[in-house]
Amino acid sequence: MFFGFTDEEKMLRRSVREMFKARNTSEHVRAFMENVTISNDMKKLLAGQGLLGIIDLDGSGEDGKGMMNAILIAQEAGRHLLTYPLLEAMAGLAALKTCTQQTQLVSEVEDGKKVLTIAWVNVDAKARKTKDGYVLNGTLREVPFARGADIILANVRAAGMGFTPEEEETLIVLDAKSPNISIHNANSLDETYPLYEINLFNYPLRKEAVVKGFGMGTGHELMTKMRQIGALLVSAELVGCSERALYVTVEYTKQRKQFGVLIGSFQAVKHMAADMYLQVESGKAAVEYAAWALETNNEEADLAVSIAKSYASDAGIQVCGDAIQMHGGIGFTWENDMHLYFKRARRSAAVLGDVYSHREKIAKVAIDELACKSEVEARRVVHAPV
Amino acid sequence: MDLSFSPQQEEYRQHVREWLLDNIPEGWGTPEFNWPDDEAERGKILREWDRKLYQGGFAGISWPKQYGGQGLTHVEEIIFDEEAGKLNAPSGVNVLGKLLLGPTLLLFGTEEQKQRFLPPLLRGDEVWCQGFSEPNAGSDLAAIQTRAELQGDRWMINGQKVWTSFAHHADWCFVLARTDHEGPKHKGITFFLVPMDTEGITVRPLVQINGNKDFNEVFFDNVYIQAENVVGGVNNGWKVAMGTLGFERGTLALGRQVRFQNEFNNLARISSSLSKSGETVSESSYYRQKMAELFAEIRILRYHGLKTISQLLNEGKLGPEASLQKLFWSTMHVNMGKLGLEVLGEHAPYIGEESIARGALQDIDLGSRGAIIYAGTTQIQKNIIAERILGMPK
Repeated sequence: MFFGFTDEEKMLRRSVREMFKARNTSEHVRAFMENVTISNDMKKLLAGQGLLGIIDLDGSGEDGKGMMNAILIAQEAGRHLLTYPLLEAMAGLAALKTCTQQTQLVSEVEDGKKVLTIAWVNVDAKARKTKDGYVLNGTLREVPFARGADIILANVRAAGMGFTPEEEETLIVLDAKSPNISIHNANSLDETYPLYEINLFNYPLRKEAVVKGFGMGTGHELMTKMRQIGALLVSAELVGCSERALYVTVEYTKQRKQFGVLIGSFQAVKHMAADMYLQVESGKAAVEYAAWALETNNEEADLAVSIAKSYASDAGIQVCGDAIQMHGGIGFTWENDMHLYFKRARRSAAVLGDVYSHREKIAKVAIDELACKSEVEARRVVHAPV
Repeated sequence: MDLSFSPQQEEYRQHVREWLLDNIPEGWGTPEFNWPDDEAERGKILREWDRKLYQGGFAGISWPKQYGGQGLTHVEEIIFDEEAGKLNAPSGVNVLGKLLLGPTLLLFGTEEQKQRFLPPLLRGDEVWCQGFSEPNAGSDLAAIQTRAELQGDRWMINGQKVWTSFAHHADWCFVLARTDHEGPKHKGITFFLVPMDTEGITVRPLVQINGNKDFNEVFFDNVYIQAENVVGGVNNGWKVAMGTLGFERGTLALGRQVRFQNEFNNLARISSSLSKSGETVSESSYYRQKMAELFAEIRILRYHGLKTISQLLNEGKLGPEASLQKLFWSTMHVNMGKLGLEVLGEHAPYIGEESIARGALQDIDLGSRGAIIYAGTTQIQKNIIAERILGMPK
């Protein structure tokens, strides 16, 4: 029984934290917001540290599947408002690595030669067979950093390649620089992690671009796995982001004086901070448990991820919002960083399943399955006398 | 991270489960189980359960064998708590002895005290109550006014304690009393062990808002006790008491979590039997969302509990993080109470045998109001978190 991190895992966290602290400062983040370009420095840095392909779903790596490492890295990314699609790289590579024919692509992304992102939502993009082969048309949404990316993983329906729409789903690799793609900034309020919309016009789909075969449910399976990992990692980012907002704020209350005393000595302020701490630590526990559940193929892994995502989303928004409040007027200015955390939390909470949809997933298990299944013991526990 | 149990531990779980199924009193936990009206009779039944637990080998599971314990680890302890929780087994009448006094004596007691007090405590022969709070010393515990003076070779205690659970069933009480009036208030307190049958002790029952009769006021009027019945040294009682409260706040999360899960299941089942505005409650997205949120928090309590146990096993002690856990579960339980009565809607006031929830959801709503007060109020826990964990100024 050990709920926590090994010394090696803690070492990794420390080195990633130091790295982002030096190379992804508030100045870097604000420079990125002015000029939305992923820096070559950051591409080299992440690849050089071997952080991108850290998840290994086959479990052939030395440290199991690397889920514990992945959440630690994602937490640090959230803590430092990292301006790189790290989550997409980790989830995308995890999926690509399960396909033997993708080794070339995997190493190009792992080595930092290509930036990978994922189109999380398919509005209506479809592959249609023509006399020259398959072509793609339609719209994809929720694509982080699409403009700085080289390749985009997308899940599209290949008409006729399955008996149901789900079976037709096919995971493909899009060339982000293709003339048949147009990329529009979707103007997300979180400028540290821009989201794009993509339109495909007769995009020629070559066979090599299909990740693991046309249809047959393979695309659905891979996308589901990526979304599960993505939801876990974005929850970890939310925890890191809100933890940083909390501690920056607590430091501020130890310096800021009003009425002649430090504002941190007021109980109203202390109790807000204690509530924030409770939410950060509870979200953290939920993320750590969910990572373990994924790592060990626990039958309740999906449930654990939905618990983590729904809790960390609400908590992240609440904590980062309270951080603005505790800073007072300065917290409401653009020059203070608190709004960056708040907006990052807002965007993170919205993507990869919002609170409502994850709670509905929880309800299906908690109410429809578990509560009614335990009917045998129900009588005994209806009225506990003590 | 390794949250699995070993095959031996799984075997132990099976053993616990079988024993509980064989030994839990007939009809326990069902609506047909009725307590005797007489409080002394209730005490007898509960003490009987403590004795049974001892005979079954489930008292002091992680305490050393030489004091009557089982010499196992905290893991077996939580396995027992979880299984007992699943079946809603009674918790006995000696909870304060087992949860608070025993661990305190193991940490601060003399060898003689351990040998004298621990075995009868575990056997269920000596039931304990806790004499800490006073009318003017609740959250500000160090403000206690009960005083002890050395008279020859005996201590004489005078004063009043309040909210003293199980005092009316107890054989002994562990009492904080002031032994120095000069220095800082934390430094003049001593931790005493007092037999409840001593002349000068009066116990007056207090009924709680949920109708339970666990509480009492205890009056000490020239109560003489032996000089050796001091734990941890004269004027060192604050340190001893803080250790005691650490146990109160830190352990038991996993057993509690399972009981909350049972309560949730009951709430969910009730919601599936009710409808509002033409819609079954358990199918209404409003209630599904709220129940899912609650369920997530119950699960997260389990994660907190696993973290705490891991800390106890690997580091041997609990820090101020125990406050986090207490704050978390007590707040969550209040929310469960609120949601339960919201689900009941127009049925919320009714608690009789014929009512929908038979009072079970109302019990949560009322009982949880106690949990945010006892063992350090919500506000005190928040102060502790802010000052000791976040380092905010006093």
